[in-house]
Amino acid sequence: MRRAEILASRILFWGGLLSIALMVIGMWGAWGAPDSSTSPTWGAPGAPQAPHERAVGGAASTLERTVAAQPRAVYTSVGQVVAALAQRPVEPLAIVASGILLLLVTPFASVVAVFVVFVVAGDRKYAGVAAVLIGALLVSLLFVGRR
Amino acid sequence: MGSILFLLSLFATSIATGALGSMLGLGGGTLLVPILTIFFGVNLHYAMGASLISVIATSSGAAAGFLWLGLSNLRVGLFLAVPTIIGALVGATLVGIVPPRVLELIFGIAIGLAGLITLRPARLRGAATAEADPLAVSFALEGSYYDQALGQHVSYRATAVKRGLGAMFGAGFLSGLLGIGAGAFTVLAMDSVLKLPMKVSTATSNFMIGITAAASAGVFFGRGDVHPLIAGPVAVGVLLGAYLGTRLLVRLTNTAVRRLFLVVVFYLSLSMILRGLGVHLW
Repeated sequence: MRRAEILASRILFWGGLLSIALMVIGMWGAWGAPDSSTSPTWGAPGAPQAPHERAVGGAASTLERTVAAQPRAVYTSVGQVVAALAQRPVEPLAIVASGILLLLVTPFASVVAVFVVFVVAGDRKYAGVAAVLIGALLVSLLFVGRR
Repeated sequence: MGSILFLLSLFATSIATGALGSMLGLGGGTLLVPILTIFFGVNLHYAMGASLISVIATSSGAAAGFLWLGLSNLRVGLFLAVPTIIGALVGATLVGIVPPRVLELIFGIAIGLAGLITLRPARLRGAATAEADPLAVSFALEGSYYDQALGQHVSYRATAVKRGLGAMFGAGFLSGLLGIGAGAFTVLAMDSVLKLPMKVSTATSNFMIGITAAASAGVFFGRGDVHPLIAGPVAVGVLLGAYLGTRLLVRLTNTAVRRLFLVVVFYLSLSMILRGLGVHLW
């Protein structure tokens, strides 16, 4: 039991730290990108466009201009983020998105680790509970990996 | 306002919100959604997506510490996370169907309720002597910890587990539907239904809301509601603010914190309810 707690604690700590580091690096790059307020990239024909890009709102014009300077505004799948990371130069927003994805899977990884510890310890009841949780989290991750 | 200025103000607001949220025990996300929506004019769905990411970030940091210290009860957390996640997945799926104005109305009511819940007195001891619940015995929903304030070991065992499971589903549903951690609701259920000590409830809730928010955030991400340029600064800012808030808390009196809490929470609650009814204060 104590082993499971320590393992989950380490995964949450390092996963959280690494994902925040990725977000900071990506934001640093995105903020340093030229502000092209007249760029038509936002939803322009031929530009990669997520289906749910939408007007952000009142202060939005500012944000939209910032986003317009980026090749893609919103990522909706792991595949899109990986493809953007593979491009050179790397899109700063893709680095932020990879940090977000890493943060998303961190609690999932902690539950998987706890599941393994319970299986090894022969605690079938809690291995089963952890397995149900993993199943529910997998359903959620299917939304991320479906495109 | 220039782009960089806008993003810096978003970052600074997130730090302030994280600090305030941690001082008030409400979490940064609950305050963040109305602030982003009302003052920054950010789309409600993007605000909720960013809030969920910030909840996972703060929860990961806090839960790592509480698990390391042995204050979080891992078994209780895993067991209660099952209905919470199912509720969160249902709620997060409904976000795409429910009109934004209805969401704003529900949010306003929920944040007001969360505020009232947080103001109630805390339970210091568990219910170890209460009648044993068969589910609690079967799943070993019990434990003990050394309480420094009381100067003794505190033993506890969960009661009314079936009702607790239902309450957790409700808390998870609100978390998924509104893009918040819903820590106030999970702690309320653990405290008043399961009769767990407040410290254990808070520490275990931190572990649970991270898992719950991750489940909801997956749905939000896949739908395109997690905007990196909003979620990034918000997550880093709220995490930094939460750290600063815990440091600042020791310098403030309880009365000062409560006054601040009442003003902020009920103003945001009223604003969101009015927005839901079509009245915009800003």
